[in-house]
Amino acid sequence: MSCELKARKGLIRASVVVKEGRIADISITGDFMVMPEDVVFRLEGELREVPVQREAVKQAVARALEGASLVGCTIDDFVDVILCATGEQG
Amino acid sequence: MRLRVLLFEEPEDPSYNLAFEEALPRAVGCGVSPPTLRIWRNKSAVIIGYFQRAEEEVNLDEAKRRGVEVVRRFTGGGAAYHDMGNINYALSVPASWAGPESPIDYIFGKLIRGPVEALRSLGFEASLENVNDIVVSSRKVSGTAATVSWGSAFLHGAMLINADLSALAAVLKVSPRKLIDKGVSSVKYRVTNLSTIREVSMAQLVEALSSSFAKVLGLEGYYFDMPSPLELEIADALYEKYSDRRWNMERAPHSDFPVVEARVREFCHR
Repeated sequence: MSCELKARKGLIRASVVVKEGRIADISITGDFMVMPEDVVFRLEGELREVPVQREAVKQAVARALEGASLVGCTIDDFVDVILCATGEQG
Repeated sequence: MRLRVLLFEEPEDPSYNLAFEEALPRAVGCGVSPPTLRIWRNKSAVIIGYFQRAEEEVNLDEAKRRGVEVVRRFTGGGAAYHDMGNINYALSVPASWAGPESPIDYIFGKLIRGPVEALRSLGFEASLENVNDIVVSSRKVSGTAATVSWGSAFLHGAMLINADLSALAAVLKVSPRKLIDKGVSSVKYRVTNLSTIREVSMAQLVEALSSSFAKVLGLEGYYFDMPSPLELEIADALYEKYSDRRWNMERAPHSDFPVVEARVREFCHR
């Protein structure tokens, strides 16, 4: 499933495959700005196998984006769109 | 010190244009090139952001029918339509020039004043909106994107002068969510060409952008230059990535091109 969220700056789109209550695969696409850019790929890696629960997702997002600069978007924006794509509002 | 300006373009080959675009912050960041402004054009292309997937942003059948190439860039942000009625500018300076400020604040607080002031010097009432959009008469005329990578602070943007906005609207997909947010019904109605506001030539914009970026950087004017052999070698190495379907269409990260990366690093440390 996928979900889109319009952050203050940029659109974040999450496409997620959930298996047995965990994220099996995920891609995060859109026109948002995060630097250094490659943390987004690290984020996708961190999220694999994470249970579909707000706290667990938030921890993984915060871990992957630690030290990164988010321009016009927030960690909660990523958490919200990921949970929305899993069908779980947390 | 004056600002180096390159008017270097390969309009028929957007992959090469983007390879050269990455070569500059690489070369500036590793100290083999001076701070540089590049001004250039593509003949017919959509340039998507680093986090974008081509099929989500581009009407690929329509793009193919019109001969519009899709190339992905190394900065985040949104898709941009390029034709010869659009002018691109790209500034690379050492990240250390940000001083105590964060390089991102330096880019979006200071460097971005370059294109805004350039437009004002030509009589346009330009302003900055929503972090990185340059707006005249409530319509977007230039989008920008940036990165702090390879030791450089880098800002680039595309400016609409007299681009084919029908082609732009036909090839770009825009999320309904985004249009609702902007209060418009189509991408075509939130962008405009500078030429619909007042007559302006490419030459005037080149001069205005060069002067304005030099001023923002506190430099004493500018000079036109040619690419260095090393910059061309770096671009040649990067061309492999920008010609690769995995990069352009499948959102592969830089790290999926380790051979390219190793070659570029070698050039930088000769």
